[in-house]
Amino acid sequence: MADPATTFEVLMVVLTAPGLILPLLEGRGRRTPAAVALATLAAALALSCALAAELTAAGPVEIFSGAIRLDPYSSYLGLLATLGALLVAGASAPEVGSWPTSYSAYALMLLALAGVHVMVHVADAVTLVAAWALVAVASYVLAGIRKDGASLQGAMKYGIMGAVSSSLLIYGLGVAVGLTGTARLAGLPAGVDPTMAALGILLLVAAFGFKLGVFPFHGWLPDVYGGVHPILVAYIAGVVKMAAVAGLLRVVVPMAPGLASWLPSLALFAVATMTFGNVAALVQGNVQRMMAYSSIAHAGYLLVGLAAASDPAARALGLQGVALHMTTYVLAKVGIFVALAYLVREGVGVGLEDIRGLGRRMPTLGAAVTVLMLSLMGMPPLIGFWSKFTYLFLSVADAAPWLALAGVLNSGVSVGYYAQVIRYMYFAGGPREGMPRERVGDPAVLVAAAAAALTVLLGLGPAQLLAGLLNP
Amino acid sequence: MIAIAGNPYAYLVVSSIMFCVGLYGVLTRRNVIRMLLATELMFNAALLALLALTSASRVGAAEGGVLALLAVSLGAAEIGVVVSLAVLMFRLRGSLDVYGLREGGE
Repeated sequence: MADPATTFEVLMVVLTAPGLILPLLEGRGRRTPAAVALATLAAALALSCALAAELTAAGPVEIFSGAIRLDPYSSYLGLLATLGALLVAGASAPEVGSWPTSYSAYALMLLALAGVHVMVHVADAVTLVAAWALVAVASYVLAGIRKDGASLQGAMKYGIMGAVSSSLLIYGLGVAVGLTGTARLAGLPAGVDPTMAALGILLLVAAFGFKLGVFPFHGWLPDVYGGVHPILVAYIAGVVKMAAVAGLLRVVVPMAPGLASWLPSLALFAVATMTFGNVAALVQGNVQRMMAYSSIAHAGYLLVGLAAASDPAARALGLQGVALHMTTYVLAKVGIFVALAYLVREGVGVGLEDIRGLGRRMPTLGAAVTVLMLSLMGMPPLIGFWSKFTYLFLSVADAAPWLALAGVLNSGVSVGYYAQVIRYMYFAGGPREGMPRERVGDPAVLVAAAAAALTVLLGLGPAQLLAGLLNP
Repeated sequence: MIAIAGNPYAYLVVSSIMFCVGLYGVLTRRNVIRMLLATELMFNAALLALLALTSASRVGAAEGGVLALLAVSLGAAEIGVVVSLAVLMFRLRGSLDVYGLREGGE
């Protein structure tokens, strides 16, 4: 078997070279960029699988004088982001191909994914800033690439809030580097000033929280997830969000052990975020905006798992929960936003009234969306049930039972809006005149079905096996 | 920089004041360019804190400098993107009001 370091370097070249070359090929037909991106992402998926397998066999490896630390847990997150990117790129071919900016769009997708791969393995503050710049700037441009009013509104808020979050990141890294005396992200040495440590952690959590959509830093999220074209949202939610999770896991979590203020402060963010997201989602009449608020709620669930990281007994379970829940999240959000993009393309619309009776006209798409919604809700035996209840919430059941209870109550509230979508699709009367029938061979329908199939398959047993392999 | 070693607190006070002024600006302005000016103030406050803290720790001084240089390029890239969005928005709507974009019509 090859050396993990070589595999990682090849993966970087495979992702960045086509990303840099694609814009130069502009004007060579509508199909070229999607084909190049798909081929690249398929190769990247194979390499990510190889990397994960090699690291599981060989254990963690440090490369580039310790600036990047490859380990099995992170390589799984990278694999997941690649899978999400491949699904989105596969579904986007008929849609994005007709945009004048399609070459740049695919190039940005590949470059952002390269940044995510560095982010998940990063172990040094300087490399972190470089990878962060790549992911963040690419995602602002991607959000605004359609150049219409709603996209510009989203991209503009995303960009300005992103600049604020970058300032917080630099501030937090300044405190962390000042305390440890090194740019290595390896946790805090014994005997540091706890106030300064808490300040640094708060700044870093705020910085990554901006990207993740943690309350009260979520202001941009409904505009981007709710206003930008759904196919781009699928990418931003399924792939770019991984960078924020990776940032929390690689930069902030190593500082957690032994810090008394960690659990209460993260629990506070978690409860506020999931409650806000779920309650705000209840009153939305538009499925895309509803999913935007549901993303905020899911950021809250992820924080529950991260809150467990300061407790040595619960740490492993909490972090396994984060990786598993990202699986749930990536599959569900990619599938749902791709399905919404299909509905927009077919002229159906994304309002609750628009999807009335959808299940009869579009049985495959309706079934896929239903499965993904049930998974987000946490219904057994789908993967969402395992990741949310048996990992995330169980991890804090001993250390902070009230937090686990808040999570369960919030999941109950969330049923209110997910079930509403399912009700409109199946039980709220027939479809309106002229709703088109689905074309089962359409890439978007196939991708939504594939995401739903993976959600079911992983839930039927492999989820726990997978979690056993993910030792953070 | 050696003069401040061991006592970065004066710099931290200045930097936190700059940061808060910037944050106030981002939250209260509606005009893109004004918001950008405010984020730039926040960004420079963060750089000041970074350099003050890392040079005080001596060991991390070189790394702090490298980090600051890279951070400047990150800030420049972000400002570049947001300014180009602002140009696009001004052409489309004739205004620079971030919150008024969607009311302007689809």
